[in-house]
Amino acid sequence: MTQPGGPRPVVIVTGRHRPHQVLFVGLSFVLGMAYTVGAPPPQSLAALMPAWLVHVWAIGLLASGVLGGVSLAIADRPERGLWLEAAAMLIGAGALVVALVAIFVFAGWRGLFGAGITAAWAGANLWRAWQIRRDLTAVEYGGGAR
Amino acid sequence: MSAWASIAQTVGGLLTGGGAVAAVNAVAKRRVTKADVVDRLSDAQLKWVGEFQEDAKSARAEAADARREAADARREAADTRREVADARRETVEAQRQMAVLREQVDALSERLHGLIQMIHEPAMTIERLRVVIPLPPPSANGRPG
Repeated sequence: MTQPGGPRPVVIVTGRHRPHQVLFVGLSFVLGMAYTVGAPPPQSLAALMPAWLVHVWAIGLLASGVLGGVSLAIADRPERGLWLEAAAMLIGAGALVVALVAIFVFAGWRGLFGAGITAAWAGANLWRAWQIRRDLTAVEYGGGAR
Repeated sequence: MSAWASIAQTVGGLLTGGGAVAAVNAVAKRRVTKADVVDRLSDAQLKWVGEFQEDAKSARAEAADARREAADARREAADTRREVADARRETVEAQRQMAVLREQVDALSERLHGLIQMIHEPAMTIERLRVVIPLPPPSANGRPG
């Protein structure tokens, strides 16, 4: 039951895993693992960022993939799963923003396609994190002062 | 490192920090208990629940009153039926007694008529009347029966 201006309900439905989200979480894990264990990083990042930052960036991608995968697997604790998903989205967005800036600075408009995909990915992560925070906060506080 | 890289590093760091806080939140947050749920319901929802409970209570009281009234009405109907049956029995008894009295009156009337005829017979004498109409035997207390 909802009231105008009242709290939004959080609806947990079966089949809530969106394919794009699941695949990007998987991609984040794969790329993060690859760059962490020693795969050569993207040229843009290697050119712009110090080596330690490239490692941190790779670990961030890996962490986003791991947390995202765990959040998708948790079925019995939907609230915890959503917080983990929000964490994965934010960490992933942080790593993607670094990569986005690196692409534009290194390649300019020639990097538009890659930067565009990276920007959309980061934007989707931030949007999802905002959705989760908004709805879980509304459920916790019941729409009124605590 | 260029300015853009510094900005990207700062923004990335902030977002990663926020993600770390969310991860800690997910792990450290305790399960909401029933007491917390009650505590976190808004005042409007609690008021609605209270009003609903009051309505349910008054509806149950009204239903109990209605059942009591129905039971009283059934008892009164049963009493009325008993009284009607008693009245019917008394009427039947009265009619029976009336019939018995009528027979006795008829019998007495016939005997009286016969006595009057005997008295007016030209050949009737007192002695013969005393034979026809004997004295009744005395009762247990000495008075004539």
